[in-house]
Amino acid sequence: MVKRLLRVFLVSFLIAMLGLTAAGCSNQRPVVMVTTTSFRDSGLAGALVQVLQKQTGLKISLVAQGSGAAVEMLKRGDADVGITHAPTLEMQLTHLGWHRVPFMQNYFYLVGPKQDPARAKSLTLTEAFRRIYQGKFLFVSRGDQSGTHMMEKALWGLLGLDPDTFGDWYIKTQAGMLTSLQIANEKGAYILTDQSTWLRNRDKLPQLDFITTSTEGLNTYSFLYKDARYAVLSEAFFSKEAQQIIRQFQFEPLER
Amino acid sequence: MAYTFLFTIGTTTAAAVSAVLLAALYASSVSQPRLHLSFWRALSGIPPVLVGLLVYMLFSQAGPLGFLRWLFTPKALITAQFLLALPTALALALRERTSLPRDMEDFIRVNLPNKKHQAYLAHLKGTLPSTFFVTWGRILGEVGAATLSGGAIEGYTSTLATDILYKTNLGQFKEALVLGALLLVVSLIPSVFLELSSYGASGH
Repeated sequence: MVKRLLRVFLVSFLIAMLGLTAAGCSNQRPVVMVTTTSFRDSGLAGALVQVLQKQTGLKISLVAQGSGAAVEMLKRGDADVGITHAPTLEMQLTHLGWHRVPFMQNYFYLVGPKQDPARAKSLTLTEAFRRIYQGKFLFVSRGDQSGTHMMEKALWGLLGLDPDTFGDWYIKTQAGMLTSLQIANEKGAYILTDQSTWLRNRDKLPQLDFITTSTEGLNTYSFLYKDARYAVLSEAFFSKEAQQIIRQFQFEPLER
Repeated sequence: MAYTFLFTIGTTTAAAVSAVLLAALYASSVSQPRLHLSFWRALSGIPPVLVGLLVYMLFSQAGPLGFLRWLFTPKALITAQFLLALPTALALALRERTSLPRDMEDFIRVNLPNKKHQAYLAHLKGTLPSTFFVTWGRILGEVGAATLSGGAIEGYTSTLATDILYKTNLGQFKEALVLGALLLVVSLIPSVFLELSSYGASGH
């Protein structure tokens, strides 16, 4: 008796679940928007998507990748639109006929151990990087081709240095921004981070302090699209509602 | 969170059921189960993230099935989960098939030449629930394949497991732990079923 009841229950459960899944599948495929991991983890991407959906009536699927992977996905057509912050990579797309719409910016920050062993406070980013290199102070690198990693490589490049030749003091995490910050916090290392992730999580990183930033560290976010159908999305980024949210998350909205 | 919970159970069930059914059909129709068994048993250990990569390449716009536009939808996710469950389901079904005693095998071949298939299926039927639950466990907590194929899109293709990873990355440990507890409960469903049904069977 128990067994029979169980069987009836199990079968009806399976049918209900299959039905539910089928219903979930039958919807039209939403617009796939690819963005960077740091941008999604800041919470801003999710908030902006809400506004974009409300204003345009389009349904958006948000997928997070490093900037390198994001640009690759746009090229392949696996994503329809994107938000990235790696201008040199984005140029590859504009050459292929994509539209690039910069819509907000902030700065990359160098943060590091409270004692600041490299005495890098209030130097320019390039000078601070030189001090860290000369003293071989611990430095955490994202190492994941993300926009932050590209910026970091560009800063070493300005000094004529190649991170591939660095020794043990240079720690590659291949992890997201917050995880990398936590690693730097544990190890007492310097790290380059975007302003937004830092400001929103500094209370969880007691060993780290703001060290410096400068104009080389400008961090510009752009919306990328090719199909003219998605031009309405780029309009929505400049709406009052969107700009207000952008400010809440410590970014500066740009003029069209 | 309710959606993610039901979605996880739904896709896992769909993938495991189809894998188990296909495995039963396959195992009851081959004539040399032992040969097939070694092959599928070897494949059962395939790393999930590799399955994810395979599904990604398959459904990518540059891939052979790109025209379907399934990437980052629940369909691609279920495909990945199905492919992940299939070798295990096949190996278990084939093992059950090879466990058929020699004289039974001869009996079926001689007396039921036209109903061989049905006879083998009847023999396999008893193990289907336990096979289902083993594959269920293999898919349920998986992150790599689920993220690559489904994209872990919040409220659309994120599962309990991918959501735990995401919440941890956000530093929201409390939410991550709640999801973890939910996942644990879901992972215990099979054993509860198996215990209850064996209890029911012995009480009969």
